[in-house]
Amino acid sequence: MNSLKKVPAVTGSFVLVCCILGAAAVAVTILVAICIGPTPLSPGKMISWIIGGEVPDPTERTILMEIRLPRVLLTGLVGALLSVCGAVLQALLMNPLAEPFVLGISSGAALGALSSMVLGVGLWSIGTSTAAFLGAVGTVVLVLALAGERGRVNMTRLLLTGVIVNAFFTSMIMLLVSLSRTEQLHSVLFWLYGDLSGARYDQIWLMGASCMGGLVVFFAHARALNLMGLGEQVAEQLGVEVQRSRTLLIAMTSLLTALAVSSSGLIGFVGLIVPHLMRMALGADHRVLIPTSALGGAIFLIIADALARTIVSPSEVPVGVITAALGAPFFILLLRAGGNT
Amino acid sequence: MLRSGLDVLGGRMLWKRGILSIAFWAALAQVACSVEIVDQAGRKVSIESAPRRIVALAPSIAECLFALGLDEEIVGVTEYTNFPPQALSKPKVGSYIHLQIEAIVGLKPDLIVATMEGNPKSQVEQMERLGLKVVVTNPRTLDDLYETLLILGKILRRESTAEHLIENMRGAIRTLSGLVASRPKPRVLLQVGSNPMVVAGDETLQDHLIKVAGGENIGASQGRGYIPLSLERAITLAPEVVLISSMADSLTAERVKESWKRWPQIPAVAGGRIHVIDGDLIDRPSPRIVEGLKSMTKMIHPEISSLIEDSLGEMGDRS
Amino acid sequence: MRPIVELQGVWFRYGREWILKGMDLEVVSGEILGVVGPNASGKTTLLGVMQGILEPQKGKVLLDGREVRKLRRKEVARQIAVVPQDSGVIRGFTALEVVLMGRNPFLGPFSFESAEDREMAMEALVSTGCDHLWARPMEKLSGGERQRVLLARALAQRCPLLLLDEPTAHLDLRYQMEFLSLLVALHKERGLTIVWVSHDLNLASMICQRILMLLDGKKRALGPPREIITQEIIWEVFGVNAILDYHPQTGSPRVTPELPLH
Repeated sequence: MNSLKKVPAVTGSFVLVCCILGAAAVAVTILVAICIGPTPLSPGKMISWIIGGEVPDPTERTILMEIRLPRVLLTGLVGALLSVCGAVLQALLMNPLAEPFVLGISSGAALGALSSMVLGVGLWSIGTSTAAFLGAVGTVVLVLALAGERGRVNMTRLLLTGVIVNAFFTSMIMLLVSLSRTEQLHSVLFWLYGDLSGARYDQIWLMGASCMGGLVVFFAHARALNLMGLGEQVAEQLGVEVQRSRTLLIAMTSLLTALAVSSSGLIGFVGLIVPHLMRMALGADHRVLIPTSALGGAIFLIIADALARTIVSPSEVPVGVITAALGAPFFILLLRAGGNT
Repeated sequence: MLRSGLDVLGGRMLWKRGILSIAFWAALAQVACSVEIVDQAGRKVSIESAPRRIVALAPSIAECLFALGLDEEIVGVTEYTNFPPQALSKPKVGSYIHLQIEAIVGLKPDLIVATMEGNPKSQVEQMERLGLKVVVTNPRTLDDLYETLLILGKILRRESTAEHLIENMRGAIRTLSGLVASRPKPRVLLQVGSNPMVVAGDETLQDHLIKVAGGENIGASQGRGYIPLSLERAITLAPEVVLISSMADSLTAERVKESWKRWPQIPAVAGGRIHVIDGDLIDRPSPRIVEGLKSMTKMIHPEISSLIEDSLGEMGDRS
Repeated sequence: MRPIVELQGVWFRYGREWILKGMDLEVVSGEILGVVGPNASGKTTLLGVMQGILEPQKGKVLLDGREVRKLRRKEVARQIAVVPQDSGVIRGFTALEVVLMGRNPFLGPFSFESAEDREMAMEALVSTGCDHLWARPMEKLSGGERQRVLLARALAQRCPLLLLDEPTAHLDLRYQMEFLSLLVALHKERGLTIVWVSHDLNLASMICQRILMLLDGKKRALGPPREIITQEIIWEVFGVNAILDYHPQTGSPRVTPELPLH
């Protein structure tokens, strides 16, 4: 196994070191990403603004502070949320193919958003974000209700129910797409494949706070997740309240994913690939995996988004296309190079 | 500068000097005075001085601006803006349904003209939050289009140009209406999309044009807006004239025209009355719509084709 | 002295069929108790009920005098450690990390294992003869080594009661014997109470002080091996004729079943 983890057991200091290095990497990525765009801004200039107090040109300042920076920050937060939720779900569902949308969130959110886009008033419909959020949460509740039995939820059944509900809702989405007018189709497709262009600071505060809250909750359950990976019974034998933890964690991941999706549309692959990459490099201990998945996810998506807005400039490629195009081959290469997960 | 000019004119021109100075100050006042309008989304917008850097967020808007005499002042347009030829060299800011906000900001515009039909509301709101001045138009019918031109004329301090333009357009349309008034209205179907076939329904710009051109839009019976239509339905509707908007490229339109010919039971096919019409002329709410209307009328009423040409030939040149 | 685990009139079923029918049992503190019986007699279920993981539909289960179903899982995990049946390869952790998992019941949500915890873990690895494996990834261990690491994990929990569910089932002979003698040594050193489910009557006989013979979810017999292992009981419970003698080394009763000839 190709592993960067050289310690025989995870300690607090190991986690801290990983976090610090990861955070530094994120900072560098953000700096590079805000320099990229139709109007070139050099990193040198940026640094002289921050340090030297040199006053930037108002247009450049607007571009930087009001367009690029919020977009990059939002992208980072969405990437972090999706990755960490993917990591947690992979442990909970004991399935390496799990990712944040598996419980029906993707199709539920899409159905909500598209309903408001297509059935609403042309492209001037209000509240696509809210509709997406409600759709996502509603679908998870539905899936839980369908899969639950006398208050207990079997993970395999949950996964299967999620897959089936996703399939059904996807057909509804296709119906909506077929009914939509040509002018709407472009927006619809962009939303379906991820659209980070409308970033606003109020979204960013909300997501930042949720992300921190989520990370705290997930980290508190990190050891429990390690144990749950060994089996439900083993975890209970070692002191984990499995049912209670699962319910809380599923609720948390669903809410956070719904939040991410309502701001950015559906961006696939991040939640699947980044946790696996981190696991290959640093081992399966969730005390490491949770913070590093978040940091790695931020970096991955910021890079993908930077590519999405430059390769066919002045047009944009939906970021979900880049995550799939980058993620899939890269992942296959790593699998073949002998990483075991 | 003006003083020395007047000195040259000499004392005999004293009364002219008076008028000239008044005219000068009036012009200055007009330029300096803030203009307040209500745009077609119901928003109050005030423009302090004549805009010098304008971004047009749709090809139709760009055409309107050029028609009002602007050129240098237009600093940014969207993709597919292809008329007049000067537009092709203007910087592009993305497509009208997905704008590149950063590119727009980078052009340092003092006015942005948007359209409700196409520009995403969230992006317009984003531009406003960034402090950019946006005027929203909504030309859904010919009357709306006249209002759009008037508003733009007022903002650009070219009201007389706008009024002149509108008068010409109205005149041409009056003439056309007059020519087709007493004639029987053929059943017309206007196709705007293929795979699936989409036709112009009720309350669309194209529906309006068909009526003015003296035809009966059978698409209107199928609903409002742009309606997907099955081939079966199209055959049942038995159009006498089929117009195919040239859509993405003329090649596609020709292929679509050929595919109609497989159904000789349709009156339009039997009568050889399937025509491709330049989409840019009938889909865009701009002054060129008059040309589109002219072509359309000739296609719907080929019997008075030369009459149309004669009556409108001059008017076309004038505007 | 109060029994460490007590079952009072316990009835349990998963679906329609009752697995345990009116079980009464007292596990004496400090004993090695073997649980034996044919398949589907309820052996594994019994262990599940003892830990409170399975809740009986009727009856009570007491752990050190308190009802198990009222206890939080962490509290139970500080009293009872379990060595499960071999469930296959564990991925992504080293042996030390797996043993450290045994300290989970003593850690809060944000805390990491302390130096003492690590010491206890290493000690447990030494006890099971696995200390040389501490830094090795679990994927690279053999079945025998893995079972010993799982035992080390249970030992690191430092619980008074140890439950084992057929721990030697997939081990080859040498590891079976090593494991057993390890258990006996630990029992002597630490005074652990051990409840051990076994498929193999002879193994149980070798080291258990009492044997519980289950038949059809009910207690058929309970007592020292010499009393339990009789031809009569073997025939009743397992349906075979057996030749009885005594193990030359331990003196415990030894069963050699006869081949039914037609």
